[in-house]
Amino acid sequence: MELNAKLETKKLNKLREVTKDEPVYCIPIDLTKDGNFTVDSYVGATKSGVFVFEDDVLSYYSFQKIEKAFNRVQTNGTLLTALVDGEEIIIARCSMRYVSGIASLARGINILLKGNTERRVINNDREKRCRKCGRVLPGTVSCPKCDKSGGNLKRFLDICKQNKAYLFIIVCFMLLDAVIGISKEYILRFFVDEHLVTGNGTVKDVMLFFAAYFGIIIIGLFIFYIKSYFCGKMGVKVVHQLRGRLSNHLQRLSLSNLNTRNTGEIVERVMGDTNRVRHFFNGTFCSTFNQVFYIIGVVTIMLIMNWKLALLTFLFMPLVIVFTKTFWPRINKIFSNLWRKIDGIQNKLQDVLSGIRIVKTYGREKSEIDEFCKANESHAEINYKNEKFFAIFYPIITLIFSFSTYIVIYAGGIDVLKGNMTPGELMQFVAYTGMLLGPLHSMSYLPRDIVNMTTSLERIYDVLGEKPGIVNEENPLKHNVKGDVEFKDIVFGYHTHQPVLDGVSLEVKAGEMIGLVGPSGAGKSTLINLVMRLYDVDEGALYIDGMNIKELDVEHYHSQIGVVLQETFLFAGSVVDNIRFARPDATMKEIILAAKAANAHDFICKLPDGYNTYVGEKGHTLSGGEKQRIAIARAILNDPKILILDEATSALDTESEYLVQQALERLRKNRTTFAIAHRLSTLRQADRIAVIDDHKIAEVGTHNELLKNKGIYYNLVMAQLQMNKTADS
Amino acid sequence: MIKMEKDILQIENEKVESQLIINSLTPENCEFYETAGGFAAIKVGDKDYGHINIIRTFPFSSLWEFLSVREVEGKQEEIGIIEDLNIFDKPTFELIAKQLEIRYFMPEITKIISIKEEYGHAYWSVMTNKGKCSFATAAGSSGAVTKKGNRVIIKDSDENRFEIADITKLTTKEFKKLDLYL
Repeated sequence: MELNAKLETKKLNKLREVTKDEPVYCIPIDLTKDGNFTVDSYVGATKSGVFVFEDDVLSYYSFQKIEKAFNRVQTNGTLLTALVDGEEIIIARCSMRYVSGIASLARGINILLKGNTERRVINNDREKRCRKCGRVLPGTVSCPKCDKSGGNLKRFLDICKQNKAYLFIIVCFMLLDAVIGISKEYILRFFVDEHLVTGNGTVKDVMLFFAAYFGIIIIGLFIFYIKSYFCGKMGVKVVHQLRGRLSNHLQRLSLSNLNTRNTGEIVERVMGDTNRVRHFFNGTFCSTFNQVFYIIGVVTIMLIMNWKLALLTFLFMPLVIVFTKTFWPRINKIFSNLWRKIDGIQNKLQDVLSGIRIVKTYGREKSEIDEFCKANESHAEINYKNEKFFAIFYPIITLIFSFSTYIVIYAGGIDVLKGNMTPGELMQFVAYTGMLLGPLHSMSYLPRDIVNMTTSLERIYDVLGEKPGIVNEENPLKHNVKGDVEFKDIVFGYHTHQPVLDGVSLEVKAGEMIGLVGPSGAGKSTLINLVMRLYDVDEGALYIDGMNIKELDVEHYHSQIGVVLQETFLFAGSVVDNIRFARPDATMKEIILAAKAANAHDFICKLPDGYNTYVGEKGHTLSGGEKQRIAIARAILNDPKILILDEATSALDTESEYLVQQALERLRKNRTTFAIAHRLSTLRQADRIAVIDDHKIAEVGTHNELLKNKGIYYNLVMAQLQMNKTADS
Repeated sequence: MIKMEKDILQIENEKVESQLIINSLTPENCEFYETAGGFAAIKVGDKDYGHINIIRTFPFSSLWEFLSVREVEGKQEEIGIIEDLNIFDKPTFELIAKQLEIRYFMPEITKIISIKEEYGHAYWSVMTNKGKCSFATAAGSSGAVTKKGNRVIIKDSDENRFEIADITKLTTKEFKKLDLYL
């Protein structure tokens, strides 16, 4: 997110009247201090103070008077406040739109207040709106409106280019389809004029006409089939190509990239957006573009046949388009309301069935039935209203659509009577009018379909264009890790306005075991995420064996880390696949040795298919302890230099815990280990314990040292002792 | 050591016990005042907590009842609960109402000027009791506009909330614009 909005010259000059310093930070705001909406208002900082422009009114607070700045996030909005002469005052106010910017500004002001005028706060939060037009970005970096590079069209053409052979066949068959469809009516005209009107026709002529007309319909169907087949094939191929590229790219992205989107959004882009592109090729491209050939052909022939009648027919066409456009939002709403109601009923039913034990235990069956009936009734009511609407809507739309036909029949009929037109020509004309109306109706949706497709393409290419947040620097070091780890003044947050670690410093020697304790949300898991280099620090540095972690080759470094988490995730595959995950080249012997060290060999032998037993979803169900031991075997096989244990034994029963603890003790020998545990007894082997509280390291020391200090750790130990005593008694 | 252990346990127990009761704040046991910076502050007995946060425990159903009064810094411990703000005098009511207005800033829409849909978002231009403003909602999101009785709450793409207190007061033209999102 940008923290340097440009001040207009008038405002800049006004600021220069009170300070000689230029703005270091400048963020737009949308509220005055009184809570009224404002435009062209800004808050920012120079090297010597904080400025606020509410419209053109400038307020300036010199750093000589300010002690500290705060971002006070409210439920709807935020306040930038500051301690001025010992009293906290509101400096500026804005809606949630600028909350991230205000958080960064507060941090920036506090850094400036410390006299550090060179360091700048960087806001990594994704821009939500286009800087140029202010439109909401649909989860993308570039704005679909302002991106004039022809990006989406180019992307679409690129896709077409990759499948040009298919495209050529499709276009050829589209042309053939149109030719067949149009020429069919010529045969009808010839038959009527030459055989029926003249009275010269015989049964043989009727049979011949029937055979020719039937034949042409069959040929038309065949052409339609080939065209649809290739459209479908092209759609599938395009989706296959896009999904392949997306999943490859997603694997290469770092967690910091992936965390800016939720899982649903990523799945939606891989599945939903690619599907929309496929639908475009299968549906819009295949049918609507086909209609273009029809329209061109039919309009040309109609103008040649009888231009006056043709123009009269075209007069009513705009009415069809306007009518469709006017009623489209209403129809859209009708369907979305209906789907919402259906969703409501389904959710209610699913809720009740999933929680049936609770419902029955509390004797709430009647009220649940009542609520379901209410939702059902409301659905029926909406359905009834919709049916009523469509009962009126469809006849009207049919009437409007038929206006052109009525006009053609009337005016054409008169032309026939005057001898300006043959009855066959009139029949052909009426048929063409019908042919024109259908495509026009569907063509009116074309802009919407194109926008949907290009928005999906935009979202797909937005992911494809994203650079991984964690990448190797130039000439990365393939360093064999010894295990010294140093955190130096680390500041990190998943979102800029919420720092999870704020000024953390800690030195860990190779082979040392560090226990990390503290309340949930204090930043323990975040600390080990940084050691695992799943994220890069915002400020400060993390050193491994004295080298900045950013200088190391990411893949090589990751191969030297072992992880055992609270919830072990087993991939769909066999036990051996899961153990081998960290080192695919491991031999059978090495795998068995690792499983033995992890106390896993015995239970694996008892599984129906031994090491080849299929686990994962729909596979053999393993207990929590068994899964953990497989994870430990996986970590042992990897021979990590740095080991991460995140609540590795917290979800286990006593017997499993004992076996896992034994395995972990073997695993952590001679390795730098970071272990998170809420149950403090599991950290008795730790060389030192770091207590993380309020986003900082509050205490560090051995178990005995921390007990002597009688700080947070002491209180935690005492509280757990008491809990154990209560449980025992 | 054993004595120390007992002290800690006693403190922990007292802490747990204190969490089980509602520490009701009334005009008799506390005094609210405004800081020079314009924030609400509280004195309970001899203790001056200074600047405080006031939070609605039922922000949709009870605007002036069961307000949680909390410290601003650290773990933002609860100082107490105002069970009914109406029992306080007018200046106190107004002071707290002002704080709540800042925290739960929700402009009331008085006129819908236009709603345009573009690129999957609906762009609203509205007049509110806080002035004219524009915001966007995700067009396909069912959670963006919620209606309860005649009251409508609109949540924009930045998580701001707007309120239409009574949709029956909208003109037919305005209602038609809104109706597509209800």
